[in-house]
Amino acid sequence: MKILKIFKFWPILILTMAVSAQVTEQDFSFSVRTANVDSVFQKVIQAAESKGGYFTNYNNYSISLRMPVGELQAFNKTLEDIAEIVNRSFSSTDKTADLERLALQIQSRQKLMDSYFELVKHAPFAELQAVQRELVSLNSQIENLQGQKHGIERRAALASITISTISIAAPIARNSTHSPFTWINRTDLNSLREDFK
Amino acid sequence: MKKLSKILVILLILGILVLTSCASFKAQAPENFAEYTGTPNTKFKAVSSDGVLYRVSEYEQDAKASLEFWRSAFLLKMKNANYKQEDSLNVSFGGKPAIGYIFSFETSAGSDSYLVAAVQFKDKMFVVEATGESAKFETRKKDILDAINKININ
Repeated sequence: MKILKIFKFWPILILTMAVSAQVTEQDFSFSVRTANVDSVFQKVIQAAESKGGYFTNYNNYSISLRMPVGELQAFNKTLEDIAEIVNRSFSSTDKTADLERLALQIQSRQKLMDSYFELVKHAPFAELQAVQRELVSLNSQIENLQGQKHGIERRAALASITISTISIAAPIARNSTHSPFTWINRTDLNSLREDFK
Repeated sequence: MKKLSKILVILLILGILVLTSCASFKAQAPENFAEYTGTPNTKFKAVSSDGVLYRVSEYEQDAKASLEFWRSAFLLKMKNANYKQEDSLNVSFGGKPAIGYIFSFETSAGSDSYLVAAVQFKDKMFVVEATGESAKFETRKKDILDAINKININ
């Protein structure tokens, strides 16, 4: 029975396992059915923040969050307790190759910088300015590449979650209902307003 | 003789045309309302400067029934269409008691009022409607009711 219960969360389990071997950016999307959208969203935000996440976007129909990958299972359970989940979807983007490429680029520039530092010790005065310019440029490139690498690592550590809602309560209808009598069917506010357009 | 019968036929056709084109009712615009021109004879329309609408319509209604019957049939439809009844009116026009109600409903900008009064004369139903944002409608309500009382049915 416990094994069967675990299988309910199989997509998240598989993806979580995949995360440990690769670096992936993960996107989860849920559609939930609820009568009280505001209440559900407030609870979702509280649940996310209690697990180290945060919300990034919020409107009348959907909310977007970032959540530590390790907390996804618990969050999924919490969401099931808050509202009826009618649809789930998952996608992931493998960023391992990008990270490796960035690491190599940083490494090669670091090596070059080390070479230039050595050069500075012995370079004639006339060439010092040129060497300094190269060092500044390399430093800037390394910072840029490190920034990109940190960005990917941060996005991989925090999954992106979007929750959209389907409201249970139907809006109050203003449609006329059919009567056997023409004058009753035509006595309707919409028809009155249309007549004055 | 042939010529005379032709003239008689033409006169008969003209007479029918005149009769059918005459309005069955005469209405006036409520105080401080502007009357629409160019409307068909079966309708009268007017609007106030702050957007309160007023309309009188004439419908064919072969089935004859009592005022209570029309009251029930009308209220059933309005209830099913989720109109909220705010008030019932003691109105008459053309010298006959009519059914009359004011409904309200919520809009994104606030609350609107919708007045309906109706009375049957022979094989016709005459219906008065008025609507506007609730506060503006309230200021025009007396003038609207006065205008309803002045409707003449031919």
